[in-house]
Amino acid sequence: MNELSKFLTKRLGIFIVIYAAILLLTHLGDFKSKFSKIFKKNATALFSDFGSGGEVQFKKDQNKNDEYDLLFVMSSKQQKQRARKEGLRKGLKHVNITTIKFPINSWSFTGLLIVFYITLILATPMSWIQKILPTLYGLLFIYLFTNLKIWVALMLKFSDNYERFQVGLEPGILMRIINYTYNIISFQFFGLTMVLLIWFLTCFNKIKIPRYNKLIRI
Amino acid sequence: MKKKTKKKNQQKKQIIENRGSSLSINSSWEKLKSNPINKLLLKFFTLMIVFYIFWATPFIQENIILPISCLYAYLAGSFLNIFGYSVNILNDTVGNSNFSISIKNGCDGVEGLAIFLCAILIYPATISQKAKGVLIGFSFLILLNLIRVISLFLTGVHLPGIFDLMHESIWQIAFILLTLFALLKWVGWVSGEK
Repeated sequence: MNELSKFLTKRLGIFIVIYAAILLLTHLGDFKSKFSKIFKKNATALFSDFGSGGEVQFKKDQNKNDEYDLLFVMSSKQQKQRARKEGLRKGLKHVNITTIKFPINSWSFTGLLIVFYITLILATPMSWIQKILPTLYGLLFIYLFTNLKIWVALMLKFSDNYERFQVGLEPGILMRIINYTYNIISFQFFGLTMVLLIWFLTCFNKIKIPRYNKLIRI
Repeated sequence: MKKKTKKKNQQKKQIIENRGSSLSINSSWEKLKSNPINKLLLKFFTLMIVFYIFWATPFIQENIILPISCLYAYLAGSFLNIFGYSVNILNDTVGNSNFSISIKNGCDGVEGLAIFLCAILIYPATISQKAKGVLIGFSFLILLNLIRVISLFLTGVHLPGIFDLMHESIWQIAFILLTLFALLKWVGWVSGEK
């Protein structure tokens, strides 16, 4: 085995050990539910009022048979106003509105990206000081990426039900672009690839890999 | 008079500070741009975006991705049948009365192949080195994905409790990491040849 293979195998081994340890910790403890709560808090703070009149509630998914932990419940001020008027017209005391709900798994949505990135950083042969900035950049990227995914998902769902909510985009080219973007960014492998790119961008220059140093100067 | 001069001095200072910060941003950007690895990464990123733009079209999904998924289902099903699991294969689904899996986006290994191909395309190497890299790398990744599909089916049958863990947290990461490992090995081999 040459120097490079030894180096790569050793780093891969270190990655596996750290990743397994983090996974074990997250699965044994109460970590996932705490993470879900933080996710919910952030989503509520940023997206409970969506666009012009959209309202989103982030609730705990009660269905224990599925893989999801959070439920996005969508309604709008316009929808409520219409229902109220309709109720008054009919002389009703209570009116019901139909919300749109969709579940997500906060762990797959974001948690896995964080664990992957942290493990990459920990397994990278750099000093602890050198690891600080890449960690911050990476986590900031994941945070922004997560919020972009939520925004796109909500925009798409509101637009799909434009007649009901009067929020989002009316059918057209912009909505098709949003739909297209959602198909790409909601895909977990896309997120992992982006995280890998961030790691490359922030860490790769600092690693002394046997044989690579002269090669990269091409 | 004094006040005016003070104000002017302050304005000059502000302009110099602004120039300083824009200069430092410019120089950081130049530094970032001039780094050969970052240049490669930028090309790689552009190619990956192009890949995803095509990948998301219904045409590619129906005519390329679906047949690949069906092929994996066929190969995995045939392998499992040799070992007596008596599975049925229907399009991209493999299974029996106990358990079945569908090979959807993310489990077809196409993205791993795309990462590998994009990286090889942008990396400075001869055509024959690139061709060897694609041939060996693709064979490795296709085999790896086949192992993933088979192992996931076996996990679903024998250890259903850890299926989600294996599916999401283990195999996805393993696949992207082993793609990177194969790439770095190829780059190392190319550098050895030089």
